[in-house]
Amino acid sequence: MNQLVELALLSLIALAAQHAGRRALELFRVTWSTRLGHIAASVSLGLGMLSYVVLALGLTGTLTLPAVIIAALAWLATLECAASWWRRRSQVACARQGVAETRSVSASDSAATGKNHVAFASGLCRNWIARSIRVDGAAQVLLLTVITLGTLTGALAPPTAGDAMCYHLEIPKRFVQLGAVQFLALTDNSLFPFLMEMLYTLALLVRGAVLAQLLHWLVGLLFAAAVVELATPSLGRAGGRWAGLIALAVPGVTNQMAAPLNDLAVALFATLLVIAWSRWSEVREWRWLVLAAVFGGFGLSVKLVTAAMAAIVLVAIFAQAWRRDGFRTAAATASVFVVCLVVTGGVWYARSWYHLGNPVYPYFNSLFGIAAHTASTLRTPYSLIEFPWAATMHPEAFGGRGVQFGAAFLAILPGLCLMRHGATGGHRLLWPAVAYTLVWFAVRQDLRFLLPVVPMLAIGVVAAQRGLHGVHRPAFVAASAALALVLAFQALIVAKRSRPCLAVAIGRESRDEYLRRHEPTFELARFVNAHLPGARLISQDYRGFYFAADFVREAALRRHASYAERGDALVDSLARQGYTHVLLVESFNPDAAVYEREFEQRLGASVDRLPVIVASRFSSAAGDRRAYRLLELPRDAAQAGSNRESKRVGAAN
Amino acid sequence: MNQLRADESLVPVPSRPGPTHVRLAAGWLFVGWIVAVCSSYFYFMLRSIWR
Repeated sequence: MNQLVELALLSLIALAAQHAGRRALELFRVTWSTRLGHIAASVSLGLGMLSYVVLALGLTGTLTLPAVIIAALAWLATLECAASWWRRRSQVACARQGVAETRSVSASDSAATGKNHVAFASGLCRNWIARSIRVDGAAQVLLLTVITLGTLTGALAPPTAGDAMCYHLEIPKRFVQLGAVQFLALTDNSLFPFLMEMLYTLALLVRGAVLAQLLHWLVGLLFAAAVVELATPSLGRAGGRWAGLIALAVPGVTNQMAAPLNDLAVALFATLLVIAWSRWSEVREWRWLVLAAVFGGFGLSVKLVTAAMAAIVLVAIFAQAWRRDGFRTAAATASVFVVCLVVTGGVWYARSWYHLGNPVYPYFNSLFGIAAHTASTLRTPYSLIEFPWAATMHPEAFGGRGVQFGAAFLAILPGLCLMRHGATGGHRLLWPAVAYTLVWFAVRQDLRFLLPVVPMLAIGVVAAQRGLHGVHRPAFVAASAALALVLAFQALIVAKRSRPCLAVAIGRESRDEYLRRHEPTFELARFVNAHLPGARLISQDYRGFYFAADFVREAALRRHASYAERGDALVDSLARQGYTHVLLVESFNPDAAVYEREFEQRLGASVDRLPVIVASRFSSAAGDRRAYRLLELPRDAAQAGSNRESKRVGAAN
Repeated sequence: MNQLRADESLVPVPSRPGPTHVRLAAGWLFVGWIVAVCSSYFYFMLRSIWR
């Protein structure tokens, strides 16, 4: 029942976003190559705008469910009015000029625009049935079904991903508790670009963490649809569908679809940015340029890494405009792009700059005169020549097996060298991918951040595989067999990952029971929530989402205000600051988690004198073993501290 | 649909110009590359699963 309610709410949010996005796209009057492309663009645009509605409410301190519903309805009504005014204005202009009205979408796509959702859905079903009769289509339908259902199963299980527990869900939870979007000084993340986290805030307000996770699953599907849109002009409809499936089947993508993170949103908005830029390159219309900047700005609102793709597109736009129209036009075009980019994505960076003096905190702190505490770059020992092989065979060095790209790209992309340059659509879009990869290689070699090039690589794979047919038949057979084998293996990975989640996804297992087996902090959090409602925890662990109490990471506290106290002095100091309990953790499997020991070392022998409120051990089937201790800080020290504070205030008065 | 520049039947597949035996050799080299990449990939992935 829970699952059905969450899926219904997800559908409602997606439909509202699609409606709003469609109305906004009407203002741009742009056409899309595919129905899927139109859906991906409109829903993404709608979700982006919805996140700003939540942000506006949060910044004004009115983040409550009724306020969100009223604001969302007002937002939809405003867009509806604007679109109808725009339509009337266009009709009048067309009537004056004596030409037929130019529609925002072609007639054949009218179903996709949402005018008739039932007709569109039944058309889609008919297409699926007809397509699945053919071998090629049957393979597509089978692959899509396994991946969609497998990832949905994972997304319906309660979230346990480390980064989500630390901030993707933890910070939205705090925003919901506060009823406002605020700078939380004792976290490192509350000033990050938070477009997806605003949607997670909405999900937590409306329902809970599973709905937030489902939103990222939806973003994964939109990403695949956007790849189809990007690929179709150069590869045709069948080729476009295969490119979308290859991108969707990447293990790094399917893994993220079952976790409330934000890397797929980066890939989605970067893909839409490239689509809009490609269209601008063909028709040189301002509407595509502005739309590209809007998608780029939304991407920047998700994560800073989108800046690399936006910069590459900016350089391309400038060069293309200069070559055709001269320097002055190129400068004006680039300026419009940058202004729109800043307007749609700059607010997050301005917020960070305002509070901390660094727009991209905690990265590049030294450039802004702040003490550096996070590595701004992440480099592996592999060279540029070695890394494609190393990242495919040993993805552990590039962020883990969970974010790997699979073998299809490394195996098949070199086949493009056997074809004449420009003979297929695969070459054209490869250079932005290469440029982005070079930036990624120089700055941060984590495969999660390389997801924006997956669409271009998938297009290259399809182009190479198809092109080989007329070049070298054995190579074509080998490439086709390798692609089939790798895709089947990747589908099996999805099935294997989803298996532990199946019981909870279909309601055969309770969510609490699932969390007890999969989330290390869950038992402890349940105890604290039930027995220590007013607690304030200072924790060595970073997984704070399931704690209702105030949860502060000691590492973040130390970065916020470095302290020199040790032992009993540190215990007294923490108690005086209002902390009631210390949470210590020890991991026995370094593959699962590694914790820095500095907090424990600073506390020293004082730890042994603190009363243990609860000690728990966690052990998972995957080999994750951890031990937790919840220690009580002395209340008399806290009382003495508060008395001293009262006396100081009294004396001052 | 007017953005649709090529249908699947229109995707051109001309080969690189050059002697036939060079293209043949390059093609077979590519077949060897595919076999090497796929066998290595499955070896490393299955090894990490079984370990």
